[in-house]
Amino acid sequence: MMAAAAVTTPAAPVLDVQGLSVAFRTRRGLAQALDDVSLTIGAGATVGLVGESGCGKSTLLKAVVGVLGGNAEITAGAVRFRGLDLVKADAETVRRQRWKGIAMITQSALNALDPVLRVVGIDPSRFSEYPHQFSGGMRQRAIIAMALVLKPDLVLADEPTTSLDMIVQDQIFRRLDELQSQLGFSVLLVTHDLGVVIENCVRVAVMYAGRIVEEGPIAAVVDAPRHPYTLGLKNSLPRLDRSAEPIAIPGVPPDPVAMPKGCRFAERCPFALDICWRESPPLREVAPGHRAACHRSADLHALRRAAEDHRTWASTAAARSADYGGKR
Amino acid sequence: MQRYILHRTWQMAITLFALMTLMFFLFRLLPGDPTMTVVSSAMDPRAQAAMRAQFGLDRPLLEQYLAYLVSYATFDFGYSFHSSGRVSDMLAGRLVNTLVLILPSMIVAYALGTLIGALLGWYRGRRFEIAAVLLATAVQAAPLFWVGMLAILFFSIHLGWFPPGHIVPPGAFPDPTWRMYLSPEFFHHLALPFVVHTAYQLSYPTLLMRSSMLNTIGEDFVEFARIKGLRERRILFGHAARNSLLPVATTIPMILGWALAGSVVIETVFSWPGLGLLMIEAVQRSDYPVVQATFFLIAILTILGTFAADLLYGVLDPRIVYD
Amino acid sequence: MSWIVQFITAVRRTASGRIGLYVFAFFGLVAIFGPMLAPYEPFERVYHDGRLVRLASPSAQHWLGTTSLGRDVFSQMLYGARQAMIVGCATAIGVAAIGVNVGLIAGYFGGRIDAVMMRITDIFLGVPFLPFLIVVLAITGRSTTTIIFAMTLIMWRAAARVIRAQVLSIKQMPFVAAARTTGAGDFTVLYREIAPNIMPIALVNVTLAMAWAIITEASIGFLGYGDPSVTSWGSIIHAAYAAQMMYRAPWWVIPPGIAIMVLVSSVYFVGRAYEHVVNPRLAVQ
Repeated sequence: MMAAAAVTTPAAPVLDVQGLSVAFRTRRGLAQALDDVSLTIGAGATVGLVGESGCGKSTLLKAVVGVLGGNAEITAGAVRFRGLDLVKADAETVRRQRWKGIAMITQSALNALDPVLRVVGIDPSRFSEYPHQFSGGMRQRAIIAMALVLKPDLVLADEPTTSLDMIVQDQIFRRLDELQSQLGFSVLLVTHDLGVVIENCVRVAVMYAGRIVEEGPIAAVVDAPRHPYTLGLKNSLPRLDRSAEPIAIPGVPPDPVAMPKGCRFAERCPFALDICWRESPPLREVAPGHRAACHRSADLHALRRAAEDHRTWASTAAARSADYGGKR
Repeated sequence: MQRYILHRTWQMAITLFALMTLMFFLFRLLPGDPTMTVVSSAMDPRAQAAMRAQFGLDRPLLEQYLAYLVSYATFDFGYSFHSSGRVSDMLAGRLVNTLVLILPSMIVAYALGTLIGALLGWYRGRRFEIAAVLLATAVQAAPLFWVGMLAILFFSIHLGWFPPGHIVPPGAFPDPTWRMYLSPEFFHHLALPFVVHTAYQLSYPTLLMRSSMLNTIGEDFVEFARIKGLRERRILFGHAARNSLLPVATTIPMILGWALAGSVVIETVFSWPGLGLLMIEAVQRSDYPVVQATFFLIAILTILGTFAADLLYGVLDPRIVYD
Repeated sequence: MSWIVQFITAVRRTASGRIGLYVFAFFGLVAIFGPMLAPYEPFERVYHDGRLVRLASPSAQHWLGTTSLGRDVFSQMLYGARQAMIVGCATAIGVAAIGVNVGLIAGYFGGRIDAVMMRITDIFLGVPFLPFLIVVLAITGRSTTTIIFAMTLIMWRAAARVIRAQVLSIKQMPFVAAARTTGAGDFTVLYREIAPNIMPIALVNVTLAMAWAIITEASIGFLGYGDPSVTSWGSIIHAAYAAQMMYRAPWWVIPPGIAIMVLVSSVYFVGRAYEHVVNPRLAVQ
């Protein structure tokens, strides 16, 4: 099921993002979209990037391909693709890497295709065969084919199966897996659905409010999470062994223009201590190959049971404030 | 596609018919005897008799109406009160003069306008873009006749680079043939009205294209084209601009119509001997056959222009053909 | 009436909108008070030491000089402002009144009513406007009312078409169906629910109609078919043209054009500022 073809060797990663920080100039001020993000993907590996909307996953993808808008600024860091730093490279060099080196699979073909090109040159008798007429699964297969046509080394998959049902989703990933074995490309799978990541990735990075909060081998991160947010995400998965309802994490992420000084998750965290509000926890190794950014990561195994109780989440600062998104 | 052409042709026929009917009744409203739109007591008696017969002036209204339709459909407009010549003889040269000024300048205005508009939309926010938008708005806000007069004042009177009017120096071509249109004098006289008219008509397609581009650029497929590694220029022209063209193209028929109708203004300013100026002169002299004929021709040009533009649009956007 | 407030608020949000609004208001004031403050009558021939002050270049007594008939150009400009504003506003109101109603009814009821109304607008497509207006004025005599009437008759078509398209898309929205289920009659739904939502695009069209009306009226004046009892900016230039003095008396010819350009620009700025409300994509980030 998982593309374990190549062992991830830090020595020759296909993609090596180091300390990347990206901010957007907005009317209200500078919005921090990414803060000191580091991520490595080895040859042939499938790495997952999971987080809720607005956490910065799309920004990270855009930063890798270099299509951030005019109001974006890369304030720090490097994005090394096969050793070449795309942040420092000139526009033409970056452009050459696109599609031949790094390709992308998006959510929908409809957005990807030029509307006029769809119309011009089409035999009118084939009117029923416009892209929006194809089934979702067929569209995604077309997108995958399009992405792989130049045999890239890295495929960025942005919510590739979000609008598809489970069966089709499964088919798509199987197909992708086969192709990966044949062609040997790496995949960065970006999604908000932890379940998809569990099924298909060797490693996963969890993102929150522009930062990587936990990162490591899939088994370790899922079975023994070391960050409360990851615990919260797990809760959102439906489970066969209990009849309990999935639990949503109350509250909303912080305002990118006014990021808090301390831990960005503190407001929604049931285990926050004083230090969490004062100091932002750095991303540290908590086990071989497994990193987490939490002051309490060592205690988390003891708190795991509590995290599965919905009452724990009702006690967070966010849940207690009268309206979610409180401190704005 | 054939059905589309047929449909448009049919529409054109109806519009023409409505136009001629309107004209018939409109010109009969002129104060005085309705027959005075065709005959004047100053005319040669034989010509008067011929006109009475041709237009059925002694017959019932319906027959007059039909006679009118037939005459106009065959481009027979009777005799001019002023020059006593056949009206149709006067029109050919004037028609060419109007077309040779209006058509090329509209083509250039739209071609240049869409190009500039695409660049303005693409490079939005830069200083030249803001300045260009202000300039285009100001030009659109100024009346054409005034802009023409300013141009003459500056480039002709003050700098002496161009003549202040007319199509060729008076007397240079006593018997104008097609050779006149190839002469250097002609181009020297064409330059100023052509540039003024083009510059004036330029602002609308420019601003429209810019708006359209701003809409298109926000679409996902533009970003995706970039992700696919296409060159910026290719994305700008091949994808973004191409998709932005359609709304601008739909305005061509209407603007062409306005430009032809506006010939009365630009020809007056530059003393350019076209249909517009002829109509103005004829109204002043109460030379009704000529007034009707020029009005009719300008309208025909407008209708034909609209038809041609619609066909062009049908080619550009196959979707419209299936509506 | 809340849409007027919304309109002004939205327009004032951008710099260009504010400028447009203030300039327009300035012309409005000139239109109202100008003629009272004008030093001379527009058709008054001014004598100095018993001699007609012909073609005088700008001076302290005559800020914009005089015409070939000894008339004060500055006073004429003030009176002309009134004519421009009257014509512009009257046409705009006429276009709005007819265009909005036709658009609403045609779009909402659809079917044959829609087809008939659109056909009516199409019949006159082939008629070239300026020549047509000239002929009409030659027949009925030159009056401001005729001019306003004719311009309204031509312009309402475009407005109606745009509004009709908007109504077609609003018609599908849930709140319309919801209003109907509460037992509201067709006209109530149309005027109380749908109409307020088409106001933005209607207003944008109204500003365009006003801009066009002012320029067209000036063109008619230039050609000599303006109302002879009134001074308009176009007729000022026509007088210069008729006297063949247009290139020898720039003070006579340049100011009217500038005035038209500034007034119409202000209308365009206001329209464009409001367009941002209608179409947020055009707004600067």
